[in-house]
Amino acid sequence: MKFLRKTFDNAHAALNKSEKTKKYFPLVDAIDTLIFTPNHTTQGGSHVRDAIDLKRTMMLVIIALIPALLFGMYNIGLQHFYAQGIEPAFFDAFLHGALRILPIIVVSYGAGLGVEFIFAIKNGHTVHEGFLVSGMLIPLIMPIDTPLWMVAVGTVFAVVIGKEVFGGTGMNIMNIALTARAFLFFAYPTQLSGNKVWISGFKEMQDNGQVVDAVSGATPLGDLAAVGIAQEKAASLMELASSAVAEKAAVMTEKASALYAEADLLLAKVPTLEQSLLGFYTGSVGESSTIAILIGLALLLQTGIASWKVVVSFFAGGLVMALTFNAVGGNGYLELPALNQLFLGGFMFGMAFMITDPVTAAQTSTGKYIYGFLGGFLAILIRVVNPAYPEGVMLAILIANVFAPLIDHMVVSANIKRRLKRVKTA
Amino acid sequence: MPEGDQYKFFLTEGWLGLGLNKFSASRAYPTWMMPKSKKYDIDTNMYGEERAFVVSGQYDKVFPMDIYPVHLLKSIVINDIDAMENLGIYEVAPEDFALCEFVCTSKIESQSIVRQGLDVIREECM
Repeated sequence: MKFLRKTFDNAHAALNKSEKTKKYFPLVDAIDTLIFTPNHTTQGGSHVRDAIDLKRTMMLVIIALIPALLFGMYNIGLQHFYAQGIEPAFFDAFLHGALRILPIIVVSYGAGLGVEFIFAIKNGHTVHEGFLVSGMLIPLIMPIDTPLWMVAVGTVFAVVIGKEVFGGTGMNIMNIALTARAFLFFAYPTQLSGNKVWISGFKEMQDNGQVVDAVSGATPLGDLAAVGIAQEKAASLMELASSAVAEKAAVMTEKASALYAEADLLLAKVPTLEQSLLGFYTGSVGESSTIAILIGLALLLQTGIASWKVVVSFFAGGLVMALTFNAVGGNGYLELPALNQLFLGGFMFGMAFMITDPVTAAQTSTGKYIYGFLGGFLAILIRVVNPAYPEGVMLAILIANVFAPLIDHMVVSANIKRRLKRVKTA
Repeated sequence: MPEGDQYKFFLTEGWLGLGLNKFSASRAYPTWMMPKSKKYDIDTNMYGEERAFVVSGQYDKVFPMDIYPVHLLKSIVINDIDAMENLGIYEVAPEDFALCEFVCTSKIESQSIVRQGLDVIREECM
């Protein structure tokens, strides 16, 4: 320990020797403060301080992500082998997944921390912890077949435009990880959505003819969107058929019933409530298992890092929207049971790790309820109504992020008004 | 009270340690489950470096008045007198923020910020 301490002290001393090297202090400082809690003491004010700091807070979030990450590794491997019709051993599946996910994690941390270090040196401040969590979130919300260079580009974009432009950790308006994903989603739509990116090595296996016929590679949400489209098309065909001449009507009805049959086939593939709790289906790396996510969420709520107000209202928002769709009905997607709807895709992951990001969430306690509800409500709305965006959760949370300052502004204004009234009556 | 000016290795005594003897108002250390009668060795270490506001709702828990402490602090930092008045600077003293300063994850010196705000108000408005 003393040896380590001495090494750091020497490194600091060496950097401080000349003005030229002085500005590189964040390089040493970042590693130093990681390994040793600094010896700073209080200068004024409260002379006893809480033992919590930002590093521990961030690290607890990373720990909370571990169940989802480990499950993701196993599931990615499992889906890879299932697509070829093989029932893999536990270890084979896990190894395959781990080998596919680890490079993404390395690239995401490398690119993001690289940018953070450059900005720290340029602005002459220490490296802040914000990216520790974002760097782990980014791999978990990407399709497994995202090329590594894309992960790097998205990460750099998110850190520079999403965060550093606003002043670094604690100042960003939108969630960094989601900014990275949204950027890639719109910049390279073919690599971030569709049916071919969710199973590792799917395109290659397809070219080699190794994929079993039953596997389309689509996510349950992709299937559901297809169900909605097919059923609506069929319904409009039936309507046309009712007013067409008998000959044409017969053709149309036939087409419509074919579409209905196709939709029914897809609907049968949608995971049941139980299956979506366990999470053995295709999707982004970390999003599929509701149970793994809930374990992480429990840790976040217990430590008080995630606000239960946001979590509860986000869930409520999604539930209200899903129940509304259930009541309206019309096609298989709208009529999907509400809970089932919420447990699919990124909704639970967004609820546990994205909407709860304290920097981009509303800061006031009343605001948190409104903010969470808005996010959940929009997530299901976008997902169901626009079949092109099965990942409505991502967009909804980004929209909620943008509205958070406005929500806070209204809550604080109300507080000011209330207090001024009291002054006047007194 | 001991000075606490020694470095703490992260896994044993420092930020990532189990922290069975760390005094904290948050539940990030397991000591929140221990009986209230437990005695702690406290010192004047900062237990971290100053950062921007990240965690929200922390101050509200220990701040009894009907005021948004973080918003008030931010208005002082940007020197916006109108906002300070609206957010209730006339109703607070620096000591009111002592607990906020204690619980702060970002180690922000709220008391001295409030002092600075009050000084500005005194100069400009009295």
